[in-house]
Amino acid sequence: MYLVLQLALRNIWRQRRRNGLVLFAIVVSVGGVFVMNSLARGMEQDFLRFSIENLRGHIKILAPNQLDEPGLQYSIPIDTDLSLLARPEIESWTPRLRSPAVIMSERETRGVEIIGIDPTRESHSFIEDLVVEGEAITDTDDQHLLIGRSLADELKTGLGRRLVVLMTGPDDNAIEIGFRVLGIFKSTTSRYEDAYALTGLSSLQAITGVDGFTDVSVYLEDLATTSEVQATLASQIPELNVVTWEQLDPFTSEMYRFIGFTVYILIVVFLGTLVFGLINALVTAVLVRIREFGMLRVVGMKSRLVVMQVVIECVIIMLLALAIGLAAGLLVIWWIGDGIDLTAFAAGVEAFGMGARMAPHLVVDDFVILGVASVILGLIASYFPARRVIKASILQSLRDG
Amino acid sequence: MSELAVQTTDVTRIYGSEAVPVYALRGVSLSIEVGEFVSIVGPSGSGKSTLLHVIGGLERPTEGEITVGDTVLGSCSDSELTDVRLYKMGFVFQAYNLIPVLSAVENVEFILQLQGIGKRERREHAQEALRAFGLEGLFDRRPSEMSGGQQQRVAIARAVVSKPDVLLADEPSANLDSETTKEFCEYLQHANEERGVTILTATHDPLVMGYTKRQIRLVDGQIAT
Ligand SMILES: Nc1ncnc2c1ncn2[C@@H]1O[C@H](COP(=O)(O)OP(=O)(O)OP(=O)(O)O)[C@@H](O)[C@H]1O
Ligand SMILES: [Mg+2]
Repeated sequence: MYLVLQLALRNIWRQRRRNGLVLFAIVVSVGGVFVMNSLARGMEQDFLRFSIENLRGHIKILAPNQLDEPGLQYSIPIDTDLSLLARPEIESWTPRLRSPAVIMSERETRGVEIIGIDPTRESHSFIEDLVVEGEAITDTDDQHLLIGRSLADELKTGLGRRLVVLMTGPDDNAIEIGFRVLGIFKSTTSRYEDAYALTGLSSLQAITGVDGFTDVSVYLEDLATTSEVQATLASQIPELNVVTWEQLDPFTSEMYRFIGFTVYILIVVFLGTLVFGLINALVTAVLVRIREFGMLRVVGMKSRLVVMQVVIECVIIMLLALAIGLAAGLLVIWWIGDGIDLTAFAAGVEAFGMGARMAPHLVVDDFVILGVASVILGLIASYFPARRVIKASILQSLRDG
Repeated sequence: MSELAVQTTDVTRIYGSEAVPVYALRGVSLSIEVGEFVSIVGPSGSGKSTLLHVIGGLERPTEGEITVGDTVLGSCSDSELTDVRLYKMGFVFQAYNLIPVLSAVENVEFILQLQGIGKRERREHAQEALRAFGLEGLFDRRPSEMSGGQQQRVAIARAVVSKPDVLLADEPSANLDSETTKEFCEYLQHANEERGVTILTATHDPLVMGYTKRQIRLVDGQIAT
């Protein structure tokens, strides 16, 4: 066994130019797949974050009928017992009062969603990350309005100016209320800036006369527990509507699955191509040594050992390349770091639900799968040259070499 | 009558198809006694190599039986034949005898290593054999760093190191000049006389024939008298 290993190592070194090329090809493929994999995973995370960290959450508890008819007609009473949300799986939760509204300046009119928030509880939504010019909403009692930069531009309004908001109240009554714009926010995406106007939760409750919330967003510690927690909550509060982000955002949910699937296709396609190239290179490498293998068999080396030598040579090259490839991949991922700037295409990708950066994300499972798959493929690939070696009779080998 | 190292009985080897058979050997029967130094001679295509191959268990005769020492080759499996070659035979071909990635001493040791002999004993035997064939000082050379004559001597050292029943050599001097051939033959003679190795060599070379004590002449796959 030691003998075979020694022969294998020395032969690898003897054909170092050829093997170096093979090694290089594997390193590039493995490293490339690895980097692409982590970028795809990063994209996946981005989709997910975009879907969950807007006002959705992993799980949403809604007043009945809110899904079909969003508005103030249906609400969760303020005295509803929400102590059941104190579960270890739940990282945070936040109640909101939301209503479609018409917002008017002296010059323009736009449709928005007006949202009463408890700013102390918004640590997981995009609201946390807003860059605010003027005053942010810091209290549920805050009565001023916070609108997005692009909405402010469209309304041709600015800090300190007044806006009028029209809503349909809980009893189908019309509500008209004046607000002063004390804050203007910028967000990573203009979608938020156009769509939302924020104010304090208590003050919106007072204005609308709704003594409660339209919905509660629940943020979990771990995505994987989503359906489990949803089921528990649904059974504990049957009078309310408990839904998961996947039910609320089937597009992202599908996208998420699709990327997860694509990642494996990518691995299979790349490694498949690699194996064909590898088999080719290894078979040629072995054919030039066929006479030598014949001589080994003449003097009494068992075919089994000869085959083992070929397999060991292949596996050593494969393992070495795999290690270097993964290390190189890690290096590239580390170098990409925060992400590749996609600002140039930002408008396009944002509509898809991605940020303007493409950041890699390492998934340990993928790392392991890539490693194990490469080794298995290396073994399979080594079968072909090994078979070539013993398929020929000893005399043929001696003649043909 | 003394002991036999090799015996063939009515050995026939047919190549090609049934429709167009090529007779490489036609009923060759011969006996070689332990300690003999025999050359097989004859024109090109007369079956010399084929005879060495069937005796060496590298291919099987179409008909007939071969016995090496006390082993009947016909009753061995392929794997057993490999062992017979490893333990009972030594081989020297005209070229490509050595493993390129191993040094001279490692090449000789290789056989002992396959036989499972321990490291120290292996090294001792290998060095002793190399010395006996005038290779003192070349132990660590790779084949590519040695002359053709030196390589052939390493090949003999390897072939005899495990004390085989018979050493088979096919045109061992084909790539050597006459000076080197002479030297090489002296070492073969040395192996035969000092170590008692039975040697069977196929050759065209009158110089080599001159060293052997008996010549077997093949013509058209038959022994000519
Ligand atoms: N694999 C084979 N297939 C078909 N015919 C073969 C094969 N090997 C040998 N022969 C034929 O068998 C005959 C004997 O060949 P062999 O190689 O034994 O001759 P040889 O005496 O060693 O010749 P040389 O002196 O040229 O080495 C030749 O006619 C040769 O063409
Ligand atoms: Mg011949």
